[in-house]
Amino acid sequence: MPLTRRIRRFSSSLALAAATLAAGPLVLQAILVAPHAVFMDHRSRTGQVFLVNTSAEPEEVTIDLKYGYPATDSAGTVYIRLIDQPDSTEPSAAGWIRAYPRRAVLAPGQRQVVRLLATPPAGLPDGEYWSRIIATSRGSRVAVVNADSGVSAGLALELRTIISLSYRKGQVHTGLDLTDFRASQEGDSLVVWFGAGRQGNAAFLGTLSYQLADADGHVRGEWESPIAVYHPISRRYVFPLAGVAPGHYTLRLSVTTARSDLDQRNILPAEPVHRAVELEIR
Amino acid sequence: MGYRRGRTWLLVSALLAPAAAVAQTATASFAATTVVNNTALVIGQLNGLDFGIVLPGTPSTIGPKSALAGKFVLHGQKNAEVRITFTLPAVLQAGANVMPISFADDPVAGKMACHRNQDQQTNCTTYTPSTALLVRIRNNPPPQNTFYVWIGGKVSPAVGQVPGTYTGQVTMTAVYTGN
Repeated sequence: MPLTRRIRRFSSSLALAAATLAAGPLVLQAILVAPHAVFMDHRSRTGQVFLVNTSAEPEEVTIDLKYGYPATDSAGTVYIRLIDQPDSTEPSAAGWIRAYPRRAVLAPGQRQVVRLLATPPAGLPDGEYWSRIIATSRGSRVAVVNADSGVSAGLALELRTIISLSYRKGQVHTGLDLTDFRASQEGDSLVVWFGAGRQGNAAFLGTLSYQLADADGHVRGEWESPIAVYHPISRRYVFPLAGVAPGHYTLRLSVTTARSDLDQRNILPAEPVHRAVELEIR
Repeated sequence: MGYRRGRTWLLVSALLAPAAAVAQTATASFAATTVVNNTALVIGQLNGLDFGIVLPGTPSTIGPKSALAGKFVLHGQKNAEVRITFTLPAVLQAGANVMPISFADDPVAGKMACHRNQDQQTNCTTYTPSTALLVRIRNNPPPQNTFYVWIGGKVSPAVGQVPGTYTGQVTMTAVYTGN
């Protein structure tokens, strides 16, 4: 489908969403941000984000760009590492992509297109450059009962939505280095440690698929999870083992670049990775 | 992560089934939001955290399972992983005057926030709101692609608290981790 038609269709969906929300129960404050991942390239150097005020009150929305990527802590939990001033070795696009407008006040149901314009430095090497887009919305209303002579208390709310931005120039390629794959039983759960780095000059976006097979080869459990590897990660997964009988099992891992939540045209191809480990379930 | 097969799925489905109708009703207003579906993230406040009139010298607590708790809903790509954090004030202000507010675990009210992927406040899982929450959007098609968070708090007006309207700001951040 041509880009302009896709944008028009997307825009129509946003309008429909806003109209229906306006007719529903009162939402004190809400902001819709779409898409949840933005991809730009060096040829067009432009992108866009849609904002919709889905509440019944005006909302002030600001847009900021900051360098960041998914990382893991010592417990294997994912967080977004945001870096105000990345050093020159980091592939940051935050410093040379601008959002227009950076601030807007949206009436109830109003939608706003935020245009992204890249002005990369001359001689930028081929590769993928990253940023996070931070949409911050503030309602005009403070949840509080006014008290002329008494004491009253309430809170105002600020909502921040953070999505990813990828800027690609020239030849970009990626792949996955599997550095760790362990599995063991902990209580009634299967705990899996997955460690990986990326190859090439772009993030690896894909899906992890796990299959737990018994000694006869029958699959007794299947799980899958999207995966994004920008920098090395060490991720811990916990899967329930309810209904899985004691015995000897093989946990099979497949990592592919399939992603159900992203337009496949934005996914860089890479060789799939397959691995297996054996474990006992007691 | 998506559970594609096995008894676990059946168990989870059985547990969630009675609640599905409740969630459907409560989130009807977001039906069309989910038309935007796969590519949008909606974060909304359905109820403010409002302590109303408080008495000087008497702490006032709103638990996360109270009808007065702040209530938030997220709609997004089904099964998407989202990290939710709160930035919370230590005091509320009315001009130069301040009033302490706490979101720490309370001996009586317990933890001050709770979460669930459906609109079931009474069955939500409590947690301490100053800690990050890493969760997945409900692995259902729209409009059931939800995640709910409720938050309470405790204000402690002093005996001689100066009259006024005390306010503070809570920042809720939702990040698509891409994992």
